[in-house]
Amino acid sequence: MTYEEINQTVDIIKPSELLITVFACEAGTALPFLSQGSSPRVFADIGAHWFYFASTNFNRFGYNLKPGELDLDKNGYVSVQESINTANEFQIESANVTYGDLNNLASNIYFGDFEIDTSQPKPYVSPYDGGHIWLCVGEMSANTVGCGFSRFSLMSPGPELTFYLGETVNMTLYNVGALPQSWEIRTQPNINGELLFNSTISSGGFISQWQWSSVSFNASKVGKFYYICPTPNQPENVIWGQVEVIDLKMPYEQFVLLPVVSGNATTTYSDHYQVSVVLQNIGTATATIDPSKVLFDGKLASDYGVYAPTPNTDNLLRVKPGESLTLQFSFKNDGNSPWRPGGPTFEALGKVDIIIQTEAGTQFWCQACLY
Amino acid sequence: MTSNARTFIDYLSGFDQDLQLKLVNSFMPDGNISSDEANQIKFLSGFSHQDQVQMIDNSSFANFDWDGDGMCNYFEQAVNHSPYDVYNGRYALLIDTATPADLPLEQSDADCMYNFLVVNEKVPSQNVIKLTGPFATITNFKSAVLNLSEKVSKNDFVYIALSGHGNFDDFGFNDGNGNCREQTQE
Repeated sequence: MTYEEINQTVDIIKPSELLITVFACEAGTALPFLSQGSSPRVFADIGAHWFYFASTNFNRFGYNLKPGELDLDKNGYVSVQESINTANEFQIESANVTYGDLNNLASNIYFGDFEIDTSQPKPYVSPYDGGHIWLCVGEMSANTVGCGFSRFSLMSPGPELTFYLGETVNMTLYNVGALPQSWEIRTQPNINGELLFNSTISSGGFISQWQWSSVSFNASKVGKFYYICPTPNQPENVIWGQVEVIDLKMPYEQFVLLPVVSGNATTTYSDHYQVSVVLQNIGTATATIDPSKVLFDGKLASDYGVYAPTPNTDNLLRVKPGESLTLQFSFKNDGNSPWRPGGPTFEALGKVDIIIQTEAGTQFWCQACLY
Repeated sequence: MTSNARTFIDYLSGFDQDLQLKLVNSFMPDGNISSDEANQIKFLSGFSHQDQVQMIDNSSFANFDWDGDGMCNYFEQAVNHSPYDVYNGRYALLIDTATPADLPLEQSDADCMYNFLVVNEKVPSQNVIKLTGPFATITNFKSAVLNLSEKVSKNDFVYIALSGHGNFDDFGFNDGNGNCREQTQE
């Protein structure tokens, strides 16, 4: 069946967007026919012989996808354009992927909201592992050049980038505009600032339209800087955006403890209950709590009272970031809860408010549920 | 501290204790802020404070997919740029003409795509038409396209994948007997 006939067949479908991929020998010859239609089209031809986009990437989606392999802009999702760009790295034969009409490959077309790696930080934060940042740059208007994580999200100034001290950053700049471009980090938002990290992309030259170039540098200095384009034929060295290099060893936020496991008391009648509450420090600083300041009396939602014995230790407990602390204690009826007829048992059901006071005097509150 | 946890902590600070408790109980039953949860928080942050308080009060904040189309609010708003309050159906037609009948299904291109779309992307299985091997004929392809054209609306996305043997300007469908080039040679 000719591609022209296939196009006539599929053109009766009128969706918001129609994505077509072809994995077959000589699939590039489908481009003139399948890339245009009565509804918006995205076409990817799979190129020559047995190297192709669809199987390579769908296999990887399904089986062995690794963080950062396809998600070039680090937004947590894989677009069609990223899939095809990245396919080059996984080819099993020497043939190159044929893009067809790159302009016709919308970078904001996605298959859905499946995230390739849920632990990845936000797009502008470095992924710690020396991952690759992919920035697009181009004209937003006659006098404004912008950049973004895709060519459809250009903005000026561009997105703020955050790196970590000592991290090796891999940066690729993709020129989606007409003007030649370059990229580097300086201490000031102009070429009078000190050049940092040997970060210049395409040093000594500029990147032409639809071309890209990469640089690898070490973020060796803490501070807030700027990334700029030193292109001479642009108006006054357009400021593209800010770069911040932070030191993970510098705590920038106090610790926070939150309950992660509720009490394990049950609704079975008993004369006392064993309760454990796990608190996790999700902050960046070490939390120090004084167990003698742990209060767990009163405020049961069902008006049941509790009796709080002495905590099981008088030692200060230190909780490092990411670590958890388990508080274990028992409580008995302080007389305010109704005793079960016929025996010294009562029912515990409700929520316990816990107030923790640190040695620095900070108080905070959390809650454990007893079901 | 993970970026997800920080997103959550930053968000908590904007509300009083009662609302914080509701948020903690909803987002942290397992003690962690997942990527989906962090994305929902980022999505909610785009609304006015008054709207957010109302969403927490009426619990709509805990619905990650307001239009029920299988794509979360944040993804639609910030990544895919499709409306988060309009159902966007997703359909796929997967053609794999060259798959031998005796090849384990999970090894075919179409099955890899099918599993990805249905399992990972939560595309409803009834929206995915898969034609492999002797079933990947021109007749079946045209029927499937006609079927899609009757279901698909202007708000929907359609993905058509053709996998098999090709030649200059044409694609070889299966003839129904396991041969996938005869019809292109006609």
